[in-house]
Amino acid sequence: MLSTSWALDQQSSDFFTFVSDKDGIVVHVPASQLTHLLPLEPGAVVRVMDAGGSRPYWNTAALIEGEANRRRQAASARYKHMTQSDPGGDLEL
Amino acid sequence: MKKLSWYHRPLRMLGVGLSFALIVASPSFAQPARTVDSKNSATLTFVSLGQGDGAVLRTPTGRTVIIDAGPDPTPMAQWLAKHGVTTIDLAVASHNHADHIGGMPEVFKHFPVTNYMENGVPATTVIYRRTLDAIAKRGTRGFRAEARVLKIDGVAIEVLPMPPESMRGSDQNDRSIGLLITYGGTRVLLTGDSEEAEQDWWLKNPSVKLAPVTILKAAHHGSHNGTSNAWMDRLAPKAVVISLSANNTYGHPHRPMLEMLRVRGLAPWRTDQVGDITVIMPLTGATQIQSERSRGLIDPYQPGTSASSRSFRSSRPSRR
Repeated sequence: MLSTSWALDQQSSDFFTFVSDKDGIVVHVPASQLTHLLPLEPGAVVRVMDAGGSRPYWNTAALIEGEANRRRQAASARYKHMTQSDPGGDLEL
Repeated sequence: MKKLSWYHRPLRMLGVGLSFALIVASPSFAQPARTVDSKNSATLTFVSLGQGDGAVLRTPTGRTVIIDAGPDPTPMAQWLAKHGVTTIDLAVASHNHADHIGGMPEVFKHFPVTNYMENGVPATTVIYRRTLDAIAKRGTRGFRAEARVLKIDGVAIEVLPMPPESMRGSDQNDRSIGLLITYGGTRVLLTGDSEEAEQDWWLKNPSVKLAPVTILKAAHHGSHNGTSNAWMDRLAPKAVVISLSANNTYGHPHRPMLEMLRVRGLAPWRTDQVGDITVIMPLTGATQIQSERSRGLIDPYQPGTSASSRSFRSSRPSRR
């Protein structure tokens, strides 16, 4: 059995929207299939068993501890670097 | 890597009739097309790109700003290619959800971006990482989302101040970038997927001087939590645009929001019903709205499919 990691993009009361790390595919998963994980924090990253990536078995989803924070820290560093030359204030483009 | 498909697809807008409306007493009142002085006008097009947001601002000399790029690159890329865009002068990600930035990595590969702004709230998705990769590869200049005015070719893009991080933490929707675009006598407000918490903060913050606007993009695709009475009272828009797909998973637009518009005499312009929606902002004269397809007999108050009554296809991956 293979597995794929998925990141939680957003959630509503009825379902969760995940993005596959492998190919960026977006899926909506009913909250009823993830009751064993609730509550899920925004940005949570989970590993899900699948049959070659074609059919994730959401009831096997398991939280990858610390992964969301690791990604946020890495992204924050990139954002800081990206905006370091911003002079701030009003600008004429 | 995603296969490029948009170069090979036929341009979907050719041969489609246009409808025009003047912003007069009722924005829903259709008028025959009239000549637009494009040399002295800016335009803002809400591209019909499925369940998401993506808009393109063209200045009078043809410089280009995009605000979000939708969930999939194809509609935005097709629009840019069809209109002869070669460079994006400024790209803004209102926030980092997939239905707003999903199209960015691929679009940025083919349309170089000079300047980029996002909300600074990192997402954990591969879509977000690829967006940053595309920006870094191009050497694009990054701007912080903070209270400021960016001027491009006479068009003012006022960035509303961001609420403090302590208010909503890593929540994306309520840290959406708010943009007030002004040209001539036209004022258009876009606030991504902002919900009541962020909007209340803007309404109550004395440093944010929100005044009536000509056009309001309904926040959060017409969700019940994206438009409040207080928000509408302050902004008093003459027309409202909603960017969404038909039969979307979220049931957008929600009935209470549509009812709120109805009692105010506003018939929303919906991308799911009329396709691309273009606001024409002349230097002088009346603002106009043009849509890809005629509004005809469409009921603009038709709510979306209720999320509770629709069937899910969750275990089969599908592109949004």
